[in-house]
Amino acid sequence: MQELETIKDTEKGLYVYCAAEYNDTAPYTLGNIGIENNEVFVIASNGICLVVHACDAKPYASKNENEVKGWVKAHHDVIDAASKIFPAVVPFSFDVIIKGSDPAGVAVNWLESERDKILEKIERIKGREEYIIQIFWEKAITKRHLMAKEKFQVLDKEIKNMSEGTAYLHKQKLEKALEKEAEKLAEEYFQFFYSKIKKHSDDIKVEKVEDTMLMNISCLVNKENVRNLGAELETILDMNEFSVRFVGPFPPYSFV
Amino acid sequence: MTTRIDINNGNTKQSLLGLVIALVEIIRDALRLQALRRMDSGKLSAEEVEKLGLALGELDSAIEKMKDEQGVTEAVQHVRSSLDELANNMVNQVVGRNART
Repeated sequence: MQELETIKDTEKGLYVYCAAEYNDTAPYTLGNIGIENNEVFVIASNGICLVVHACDAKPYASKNENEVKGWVKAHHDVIDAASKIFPAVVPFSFDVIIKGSDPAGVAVNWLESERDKILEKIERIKGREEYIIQIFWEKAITKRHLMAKEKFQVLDKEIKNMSEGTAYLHKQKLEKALEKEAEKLAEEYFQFFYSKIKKHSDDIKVEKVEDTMLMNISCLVNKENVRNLGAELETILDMNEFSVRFVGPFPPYSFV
Repeated sequence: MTTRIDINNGNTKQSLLGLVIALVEIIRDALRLQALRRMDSGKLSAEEVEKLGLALGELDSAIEKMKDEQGVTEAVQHVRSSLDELANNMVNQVVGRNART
C-alpha cells in the first residue's frame, strides 16, 4: 500500500486512527473522544473513510511514559468506538499523521488511490474480530507423567544401584531424554490444538511463547463462530493438564 | 557538561554475579554434554565415568551454593532466559521464520 507522507515541519496535520467502510447514514463526527480530547471525525470518499482528528503536523512524542500510554490508550479507544459504528474498520498504528497545506485533500486522494486495497482488507476482516488464545502447561507435571513409562522406570531403577558419579551422568542422560520427549509431546499438542482452533478461525498468527506457555496465537474469528471457538477451548480445558486464556474481542490489529 | 549516572552498588554486584554464574552454568552444560557423549561412545572406562560424574556433581553443588549465598538465583535465570531468547531470535532470523520458541 502506498505510504502516507510523513510529517516534518509546521504544516497542518490529520491524525489517523483507522480506515473504515462508510455509508451516508453513519455520523460525520464521533465526538471529543480522541487523543487529548480532540474531536474525532471522518473524511469519506466513495464508500470508505478515514477516522481522524485535526492536529499539528508533528508526531506525538514525549519523555513522559504515562503521557504516551494515555495517548496510545485513547488511540485504541477511538478504534473500539469506530468498530461499533462502522461495519468494518482497518486499524492504523499509533502516530500516523497526514501533513500538508490541505491534509483533508491528501486524505481523499489517498483513499481514492488505495481504494481497492482498503476494500480488500475490509472484506477480509468484515464481521470478524481478533482474539488472543494462550495455552499454558506445567512441563514438570508432564515429565512426571512420562516417568511412568516403562523405559524410564527401568533406567531409574538402574541409576539407584549405581555409584554416585556414574549415577550423576546417567541421571543427566535420563533428564535429557525426558526433556526431548516432553518437547515432542509439546509439538504434538500444539498441532492438535492448532487444528482444533483453525476450524473456527479465518486466520491465525502464531506469536512467541513465554515461560509456561505451550501456545500463544492471535485468531481472526467470524462473530458467528466465537461461541463454537469457546466450546472448542472448553474441550482443551477438560483435558486437565492445560489452562487456557481466551481474550478479546479486539479490532483485528494483527491481520491488517 | 557532566553526566551523572546513578549506580546502586548492590544491584550492580548482583547483576554482575548473575552474569558470571550464568556463564559458568553454560560452560558446565557444555562440559556435561561432552561427558555424556564420551560416556555413550564407550571410550571411557567405568572409573573415568565415575570421576567425571563426581567432578560435575561437585561443580553443580558449588554453583547452587554460590547462587544461594549470594541471592542471585533469579538474576542467573534472567540472564539465561535473555540469552535463550537472543539465540532463538538469531536462529529464527537465519531460517527466516517466526517460529515457536
